Amino acid sequence: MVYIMIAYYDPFELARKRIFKAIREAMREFEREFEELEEMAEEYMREVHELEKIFEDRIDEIRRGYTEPLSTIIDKEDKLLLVIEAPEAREDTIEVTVTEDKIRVEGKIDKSKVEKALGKHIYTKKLEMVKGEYKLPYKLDPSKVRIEKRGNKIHIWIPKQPETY
Amino acid sequence: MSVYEEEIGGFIFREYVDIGKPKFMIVGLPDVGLVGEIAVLHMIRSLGFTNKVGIDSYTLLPPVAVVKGGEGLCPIRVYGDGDGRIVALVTDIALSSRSIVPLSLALVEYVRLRGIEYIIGLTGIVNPERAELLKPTVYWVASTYDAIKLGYNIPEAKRVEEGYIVGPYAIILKESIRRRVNTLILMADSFLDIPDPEAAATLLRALSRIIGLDIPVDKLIEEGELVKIRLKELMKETRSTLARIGKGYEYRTPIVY
Repeated sequence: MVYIMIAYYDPFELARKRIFKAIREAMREFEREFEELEEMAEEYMREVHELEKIFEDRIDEIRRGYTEPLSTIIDKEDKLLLVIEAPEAREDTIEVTVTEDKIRVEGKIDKSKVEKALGKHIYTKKLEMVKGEYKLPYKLDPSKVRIEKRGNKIHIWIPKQPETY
Repeated sequence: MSVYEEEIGGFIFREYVDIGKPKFMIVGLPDVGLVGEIAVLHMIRSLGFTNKVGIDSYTLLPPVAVVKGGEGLCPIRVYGDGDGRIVALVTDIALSSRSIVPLSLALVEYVRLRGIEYIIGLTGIVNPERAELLKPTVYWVASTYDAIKLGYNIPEAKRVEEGYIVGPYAIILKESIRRRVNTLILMADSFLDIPDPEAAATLLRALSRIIGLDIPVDKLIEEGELVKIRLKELMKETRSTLARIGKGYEYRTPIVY
């Protein structure tokens, strides 16, 4: 048996296809825009949470009466260098304590210096101490940690465990 | 009271006085070690610049009004010298990752529209050796031939041969190349998340050579600790943005060799 396909021009079928194609494209465009809006909303919410955290941290600092020092950690092949700066603290009161799993830094606030920098703000009046606690990624012998104090700057050299570098 | 107001890319540029056609716009946006921010703040204070333009956006910036001397100010401001040759941009708030791109694009467009000859961006570049460095090195990268010539006028500065720039200055640089705006980005070795006044002082010394103004930096070094106390919160806010915009790329060497 032989079947013969007869192609014929159907303007309605063509119009129907064009309409469906336009609808599909519009749907895809709508989905893309919706995804973009979702991403923007997520980004906005992340920002809001961060601002909330900053606000809560500030309130916490006033409530507890202490602020955390500035710090940064630098990877130095076989060592980690923890740089801590406590510009608000009185240099002679800064103490560093090293235990096998954490490093603690404490110092008393230099009120006159903080007032000079920030004015007589409520935040300034409530602060008494600078305190920071840094958890180490592994347990180590505290005697192997080298501490250099340069004024209100503290450089703490932490040896890495052999398998971590 | 503004004399002229214009909206560019979602940001309102409010001019309080006619800024004329300055030669340089110095940009100090919050970035690595707040180096640019510290440098521009010190420049404005020590040279007695006045507030000429306020930049704001109700949708892209947090709802903040800065109050100084009983007056409400925009969170991003442009200050200028008396003879209208130099303007300097500084911000009171950390930029969110959402606002970095539109602000950078709007800035380049504003510079182009106002016919400002050069953008000079001041920023830091993370150097793991910074803790041991007594004197940070200055590096530069430029968008056009004229800006390259300006960069070579700083003998102590090195041209960046390869690497990545991430953040607002990357957008400013790329948009400047696209729009043929003369942009020179000066970068000094810095800590990532500790405000670095010494690096800012190094940048200001380099900047003095190209803008033909002597910017005294002794006071900035002397008051380094006060600057760090003042900018501690801005540093914390900026750190979270830096992590989100992929600042880690700056530690990588480019793949093409």
